[in-house]
Amino acid sequence: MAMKGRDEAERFRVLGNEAYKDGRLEDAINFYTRAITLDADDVRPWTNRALCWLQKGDWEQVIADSRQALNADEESVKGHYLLGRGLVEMGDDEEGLRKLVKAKTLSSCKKERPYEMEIHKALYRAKKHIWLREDKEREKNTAEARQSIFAMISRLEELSQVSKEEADHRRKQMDSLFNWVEEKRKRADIPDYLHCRITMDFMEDPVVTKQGITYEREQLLAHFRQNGDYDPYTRERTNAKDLVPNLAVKRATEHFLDNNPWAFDC
Amino acid sequence: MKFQKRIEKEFEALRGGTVPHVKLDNDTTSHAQQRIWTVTIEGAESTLYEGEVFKLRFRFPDKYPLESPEVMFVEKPPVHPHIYTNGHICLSILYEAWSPALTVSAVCLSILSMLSSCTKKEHPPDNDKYVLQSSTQSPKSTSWMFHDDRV
Repeated sequence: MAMKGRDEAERFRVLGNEAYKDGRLEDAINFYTRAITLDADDVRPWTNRALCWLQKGDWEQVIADSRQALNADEESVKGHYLLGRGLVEMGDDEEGLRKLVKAKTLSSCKKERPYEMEIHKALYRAKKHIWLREDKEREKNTAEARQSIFAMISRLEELSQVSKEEADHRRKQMDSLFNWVEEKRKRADIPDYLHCRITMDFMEDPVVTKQGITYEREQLLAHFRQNGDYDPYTRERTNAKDLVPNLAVKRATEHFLDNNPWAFDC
Repeated sequence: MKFQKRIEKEFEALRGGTVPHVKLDNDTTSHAQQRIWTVTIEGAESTLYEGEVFKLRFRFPDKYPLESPEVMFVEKPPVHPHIYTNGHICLSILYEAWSPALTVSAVCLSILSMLSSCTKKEHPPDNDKYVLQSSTQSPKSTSWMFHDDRV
């Protein structure tokens, strides 16, 4: 009987996958639900149903299902990834970030590195959320501190606890300190050498032509097919065989995004 | 859309007014996703077109920037030996010499420099014949012969 239930569950899971592939989300959700009812210990219908909720933007359900998935298999890469995404979307950035880091670690232990790119993007998104929130706090704190310190200096001066010279000196010091803080808060320009000249965006797979220009691989190959074998920028002849990965730009992009999480846009 | 980011960046750059003599027409400012932009260009100082303002219409195909935008003058095109009275422009980078590394502002600057180097305002010699054949077609469907790149 138990065996039969498991076979049935498997049948519904496969039907769910087919529905998902066709974009019939509601059907897929129904099939996965039936699979789960018959066999709650299989991690796959849980993560797959969570993926359906993700497509629908129902983040609470994403969280609920991916938690169930992790109950069934605590090492599930997809479960951690989906839970992380859900938490970040619902505003729990720190916890989401932890789940995503865990997903990344689990993924990197596997040979085929499942969800590597998705996890990578979700991590940057989480870091961006956190950075933006902290930056808002920094802005508020700086403004408050500035105001109250200046008020205190003036108060001390009025009460003749400090001389006018000293008060002026302290005001100058505080001004230069707060200006430095404001300067630090400013967002750096995104260096254009980190952008592909076709997409005008950061590159996931930067390649360099023999002319020394770096492009996103996918778009450069599309350009060769569309327009012919030449470097779009220099117009000199080059083709797919000449391309070499530009690992330095890839590293530089990661470094830039680590220091400037606000710049991530995806 | 894959190239949404690029279109947005180009839009911002033009709206920011960082390119001299080139700006987005008012009715284009609402949406970067619009497939048709109207860009105004102003003839440069000390050239035959000084102070004149022209309107260019850009139409972006799905594959832009892998494929060139369709670019033509609308309303009153400048009188120029490479610009037909129906707005079509004989400029190789708009057709077979297009490259995805080019941008809307690069195209506008090329057109401006084509105007600036002109020494005599006249219509292309084959204007009447060409306009008759191609009046309602896209300039991209013309097989252009690029006579003289210096003008």
